[in-house]
Amino acid sequence: MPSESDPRVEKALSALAGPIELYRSAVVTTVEEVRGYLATHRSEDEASDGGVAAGLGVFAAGRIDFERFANLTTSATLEGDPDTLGKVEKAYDILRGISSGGEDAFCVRVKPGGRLREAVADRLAEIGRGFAAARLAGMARAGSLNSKNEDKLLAPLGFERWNQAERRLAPPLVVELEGAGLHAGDLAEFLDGNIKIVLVVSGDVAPAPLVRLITPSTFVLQTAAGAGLERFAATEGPAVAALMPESAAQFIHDPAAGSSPAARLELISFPEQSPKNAVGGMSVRQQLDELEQLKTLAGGPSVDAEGEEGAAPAAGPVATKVDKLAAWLLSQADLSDAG
Amino acid sequence: MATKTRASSEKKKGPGKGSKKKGPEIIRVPETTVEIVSDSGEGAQKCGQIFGAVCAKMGNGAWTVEIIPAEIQPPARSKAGGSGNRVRFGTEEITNWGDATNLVVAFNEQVLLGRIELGALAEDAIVLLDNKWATHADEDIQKEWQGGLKELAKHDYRIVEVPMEEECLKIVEDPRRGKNMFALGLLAWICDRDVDLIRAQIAHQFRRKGEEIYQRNVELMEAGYGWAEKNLDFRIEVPTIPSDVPKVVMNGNEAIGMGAIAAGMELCSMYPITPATSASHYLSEVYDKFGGVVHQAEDEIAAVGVAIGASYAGKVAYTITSGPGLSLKQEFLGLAVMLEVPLVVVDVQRGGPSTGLPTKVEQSDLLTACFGQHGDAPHVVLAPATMEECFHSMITARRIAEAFRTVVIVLTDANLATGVQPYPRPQLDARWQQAPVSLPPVDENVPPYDWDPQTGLSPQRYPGQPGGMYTATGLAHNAWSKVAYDPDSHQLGSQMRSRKIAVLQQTLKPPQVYGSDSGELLVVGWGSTKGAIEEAVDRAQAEGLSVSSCHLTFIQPLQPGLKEIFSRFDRVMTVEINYSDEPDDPYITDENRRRAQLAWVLRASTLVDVDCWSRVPGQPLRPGNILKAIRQRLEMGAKV
Repeated sequence: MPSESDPRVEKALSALAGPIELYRSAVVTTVEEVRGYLATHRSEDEASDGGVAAGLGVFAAGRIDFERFANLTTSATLEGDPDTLGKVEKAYDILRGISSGGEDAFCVRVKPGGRLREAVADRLAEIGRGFAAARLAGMARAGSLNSKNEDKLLAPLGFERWNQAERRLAPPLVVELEGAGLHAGDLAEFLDGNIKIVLVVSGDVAPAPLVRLITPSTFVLQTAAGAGLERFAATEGPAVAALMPESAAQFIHDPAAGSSPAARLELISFPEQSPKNAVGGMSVRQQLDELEQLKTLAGGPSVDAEGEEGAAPAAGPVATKVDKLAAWLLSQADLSDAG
Repeated sequence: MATKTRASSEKKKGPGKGSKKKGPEIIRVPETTVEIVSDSGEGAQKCGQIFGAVCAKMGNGAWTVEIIPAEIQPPARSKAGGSGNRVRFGTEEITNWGDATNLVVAFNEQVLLGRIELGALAEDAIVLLDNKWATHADEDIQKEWQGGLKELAKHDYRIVEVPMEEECLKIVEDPRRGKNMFALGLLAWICDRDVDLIRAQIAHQFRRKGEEIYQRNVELMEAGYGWAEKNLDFRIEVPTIPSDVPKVVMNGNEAIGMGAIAAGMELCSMYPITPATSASHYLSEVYDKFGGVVHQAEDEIAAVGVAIGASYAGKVAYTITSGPGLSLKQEFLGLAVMLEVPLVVVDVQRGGPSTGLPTKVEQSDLLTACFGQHGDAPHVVLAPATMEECFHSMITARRIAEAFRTVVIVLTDANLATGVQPYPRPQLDARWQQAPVSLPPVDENVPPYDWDPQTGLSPQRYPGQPGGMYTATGLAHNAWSKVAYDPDSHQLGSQMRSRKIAVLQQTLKPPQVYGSDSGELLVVGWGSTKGAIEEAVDRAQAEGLSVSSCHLTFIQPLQPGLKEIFSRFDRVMTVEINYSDEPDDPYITDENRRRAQLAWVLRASTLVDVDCWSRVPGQPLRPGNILKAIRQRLEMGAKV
């Protein structure tokens, strides 16, 4: 159990079991492939008399001349140079370490005052070591591992250096953080490939912070009770979700649901209370902006906030009862401390 | 499991202990052979299996042979319908089923007479016979019983009539479902078997049946034990020698399956066929623990096709079958040879030809295993001789199949498949496992059959290797796997496929000679007859006869040095369980004589006039019969 305090982490991990399993399968497959490479290239082991004797088993003892067997059959196998094999063995160790890791590998906790971006970037870079190791092994298998700098490949590999195939294999992450630390923009650069990030948010939080991450191909979910996590986990492409307090907006933006923003966005609930205080550097104005953006995306034309001081900028006529209600709520907003 | 506690608490008391005043006669022997025989369906086999396992677990050497009728449900009380188990156990290692049974528990006189007609019983055997038939309501059966007793009286057997039915009825309503456990109790007392172990073994046998069934069976066993203690005046003592070597007890089919798992083979593709099927039952139970799967195909041909496909994709697979199945697979075996796809085929031999003797042992598939494919299809044939070798041979077979990109046929038989023998627990080695598939890019300028002109070997390509795509074909092809009917291509391909097997032969060591390195007669065997042959040779040597033996494990290619070994003996003779004409049979001449199958192979490859003695009794060879053949051949005195 990665988190001792928040049961929502377990809930998120449970919902992400499928993507986690996919990632683990990919890692295990890679481990096996690298093991296969090592097994067929360790000339001093497998192809040696001792290696041949061990591989042939007890039945062969006394019946097969292992030295002769090794000499006659080795020409049909590939031999690797010790330097290359040493590097591949290091890569193999890294991959084995990743494959044997528990659920902690998929969980990150942002310390109070810490930055969401750094926490996620660091963890992804650590995960990226696995990709680096796989790359090194692949280079060895392709016979192109001849530079002196390959050792650097085994260092943490930042997400910005992952290729498209690696981004498609990216494992999900569950990030625990306080609402004040939820700066959605911190995640934007990571939303590529097939990555899935679930934020488990506690404390005061802006009502619709993830609205800023809505793009046509990104699955974005804000939920309180976890509704929609299954769809989130099953979606193809980048996805981000936040397990929020009940007071926050709840919505699902599913790229597969349609071509227009309104078709893709399902607004499940809207905050009854307007934000009144800045949270973590996000002013009330910014928070209201996010809510307005949410409505805009969900309903097409925006709220008519005529005559209301401090209201969100109008983007079109009132279209729905929800929009009208939201407009009224916005009009009640106390913007005195807006930063 | 609660069994252990329960058993431990009752062991000191023992069933019926203390009720007998005069001590029984103790028959102390280094080994003995016990049979339990009944109508089919009365559980004598299960009784024997438990008894054999307990003997092995107590530290005795043991070898069991199932007595199986040819039909699934033969008529009750018929001589041919006897079903059961024969357990030979001793202080030292036991390597074969021996000559004759010393103690038999029979559920009716007819199955007992059937065994006697087969010469199964020693002349001084002790017979425990259910006497329910004496008072049977059917007068015909009573007459049969009386006639049977008269027949038995012609022998020197020590016959004890046991009211098995009557005693079992005190516990169960249907004695047919319980008499076997009563018999087990009889044997347990007579042979002083560990009752704790028996209870544990019963618990294992009935692990899926629930507590009530277990209790009932233990009760019946204890009733048999108590009856024997109270009424019998003899016991048989076979000492055990404590050993620190941990052992496992299993039959050959289980050993084959376990060996395949240890070898890292993950796909067994097979179609059920007696006597191979129990291997798939075992594998089905355990494979998911190791990441493997048993695929039951729609027929024998599909089964081997699936295995070839898996091997082609990079995971060496195997198929298990018996004679009729091997015949059906032959065309696909030729394909595997042509494609140079590694493949392991286990043939659990039974009596043939055609459907033959499905439940009976024979060694008559040797030639079809070696030469059954049409065209020239060189491949490997090897033959384990014991349950332990069944396990270890699978590791070697997979490795050879992979290294030489060829088919390896492992020849076992019904004797190994169903018999049980304890052997040292294998010390598993991760290097036995097949390496995972590696898919590095390959040089597109290198052909898929990049034959080493010296060895014929070439690295295998797998689907998915960048630059490695090629069309696999069973048609004659050149090194690029392009269909090629020109003389040179076919000559080269045939040469390379043959050369590999010659190269393998060059890595083999000459076989060991059992006994003196030279002498008057060398007995050559293969497969499950090893123990019986060596026991016969021991006895012959004890009689002063100049006899040695040599057991071959590689049948194709043959181990080197055979001609030189044969040259040190005046006469060479194979002993096999397949048919051969006797030299003095009517119309048989040296030219038309059908010889035993290994003899044929040896004659062709060594140009030595190898003689043979073989029988097809549908049961293992007895060392005593082999000894007689040795004496007879030596008396003939002919020289090679």
